[in-house]
Amino acid sequence: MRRASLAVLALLIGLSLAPARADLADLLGISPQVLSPQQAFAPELVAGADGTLELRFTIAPGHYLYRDRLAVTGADGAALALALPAGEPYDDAEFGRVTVLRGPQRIALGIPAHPGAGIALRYQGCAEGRLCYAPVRIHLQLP
Amino acid sequence: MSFRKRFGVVTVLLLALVAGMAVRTALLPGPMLEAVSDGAKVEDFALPDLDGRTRRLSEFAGKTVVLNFWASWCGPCLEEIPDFIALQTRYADRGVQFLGVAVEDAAAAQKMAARMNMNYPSLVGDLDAMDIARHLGNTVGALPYTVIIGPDGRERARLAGRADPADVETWLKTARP
Repeated sequence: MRRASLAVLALLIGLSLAPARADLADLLGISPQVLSPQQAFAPELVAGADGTLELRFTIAPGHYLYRDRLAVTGADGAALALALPAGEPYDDAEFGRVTVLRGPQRIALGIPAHPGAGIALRYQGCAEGRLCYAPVRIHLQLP
Repeated sequence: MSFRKRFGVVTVLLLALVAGMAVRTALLPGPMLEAVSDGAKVEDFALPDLDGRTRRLSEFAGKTVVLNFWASWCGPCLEEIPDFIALQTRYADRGVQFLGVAVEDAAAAQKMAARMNMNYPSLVGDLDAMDIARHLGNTVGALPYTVIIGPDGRERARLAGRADPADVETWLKTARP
C-alpha cells in the first residue's frame, strides 16, 4: 500500500516535471528543443589509427544527415572522393528516396593527419519531421 | 528495511517517474510559437518575389503578417504550407497576410510554390534571406522558421520548426479585421 502511494507520488512528479520531460524527449529522440547544427551533428576532425584524417559525426537522436549532400574539400581546394557509410533509405518530401546517416559516423578521408591539417566541410540535415538546417559550411582543423 | 525491499521500492519509484514523464511527453503538443516579450519593431527589408519584382515587408504594414521562411528542400516546410494556405484563406478578411521567404534560388522556389498552389506571396533569397531570419532570432539556421508580426510592425511570436496550425490560429484569432 505504502509502495503504491509512493509510486503514485512519483508518477505525479513525473507528470509535472517540464525540464525532465524535455530530457526524456531528448533521450527518445523527440526533443522539442532546437539544437544548433553543431549540437545536432557534432562534426569533428581527428587523426585516425592509420595516421590519416578521419571525419566523425555524432548525430543526435531524432536527427539525420543527407548522405549525398556531404562534401569535403582538402587544403588545396580539391573535392575529396569520400568512402561514405552505407546509411539507411529515407523517403524525403522533396528529394524522394534518399540515403541518410544517423547516430555516430566515421568517414576515413585518406589524407595524412599532420598537425594543422584541415578540411572544408559542407553538410545538411534535418530533425525528423520538425525542421531542417540550411546547408552548413565549416572549416575543421587538427590542433 | 532489507536491501532487497529498498531496491524494489526505488525501482518502482523510478519506473513510475519515467512513466509519468513519458505520458506527459506523449500528451503535450509539439513546439509552440513563443511569444516575443519585448515586441521590437521588425526592421524593413526588401527581397525579390518569385517573379523577380522587389518587394518590401513595409508593403504589408497594418496587417498581421505571418512571415514564414521555407525551402523546397525542407520536408517539414512543405508539410506546413497547406495549413498556411488554409489559414490565409480563412483569415484574409481579418487583415492576416502570410508572406513566405524561400531560402534558395528562385527557380526551385517558384516551381514548388506553383505545385503547392500557394495563395500568398513568397519572396526569395539565399544568404540574404538567412541573414534576415537570423536577425529575427533564427540563430541556428533552422527551417521552417515562422515569425508573427503585429499590425503595428512589432514582432509578436516566433517558432523554429514545423508549426501546429491550431497554435498559429490562436495567434491569428486576435488579429483585427
